[in-house]
Amino acid sequence: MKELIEYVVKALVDHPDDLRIAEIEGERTIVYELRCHPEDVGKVIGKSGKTVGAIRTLLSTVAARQNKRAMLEVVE
Amino acid sequence: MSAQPSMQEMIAAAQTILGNLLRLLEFEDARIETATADGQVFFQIVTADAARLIGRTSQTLDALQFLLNRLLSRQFEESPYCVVDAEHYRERRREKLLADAHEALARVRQNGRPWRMPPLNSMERRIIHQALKDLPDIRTHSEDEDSEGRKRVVISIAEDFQPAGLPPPAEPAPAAPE
Repeated sequence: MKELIEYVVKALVDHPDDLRIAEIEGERTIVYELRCHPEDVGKVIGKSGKTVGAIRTLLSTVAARQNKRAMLEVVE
Repeated sequence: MSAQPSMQEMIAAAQTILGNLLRLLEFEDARIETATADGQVFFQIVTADAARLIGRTSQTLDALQFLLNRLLSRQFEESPYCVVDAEHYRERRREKLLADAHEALARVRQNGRPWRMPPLNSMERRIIHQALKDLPDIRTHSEDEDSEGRKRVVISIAEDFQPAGLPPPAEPAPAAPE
């Protein structure tokens, strides 16, 4: 799932080298904390959150296969 | 991005992106069929797990399509619009929406009261608006979002419509040129 986030977000941002994704795994929930270059935050989130929403939707279909919930937070 | 890329190059790039996304989404068996029409690219994904790929109210398919187009437009200045489909869901959904819209249309013409369609996403609402836009006696508009961020199409009698005689029959009336 981290690879999925990485693949999509790297292709969206202008500063892919500044991308950091932390994975915090709980029993039923995995939280991904994404940090990126300040100039790229808008690109990752998208208009009214549409881009990050689409990434979250894809994440949840993979997580559901493992009976888990995946959360993605963009940390400023 | 130097020379203007050809359509073939852009389609190949889109196929690569879509293939990568499908692999990362663990659709190991997915096969992509590609077609083009009117400058748009249509990807039909064949997989045994189409239900998971489509998702509830096609949200997974829509997310995949949205991100594919975002990624492609990052690669090319003028990329073609890509439609992602599985099991011909979009076609079937379109037919269902048109049937529902015409049923609602008949009801509105009969009793004159506005009819609210169920909540639909923007692509689905567009299908309804497009289907009814040329009827002189009918207006469609989208309501504001409800508390869950969903929008509905409302079908109503056009306020400024002056009936010349009896309203046209309920069946999907072709837009009669004046």
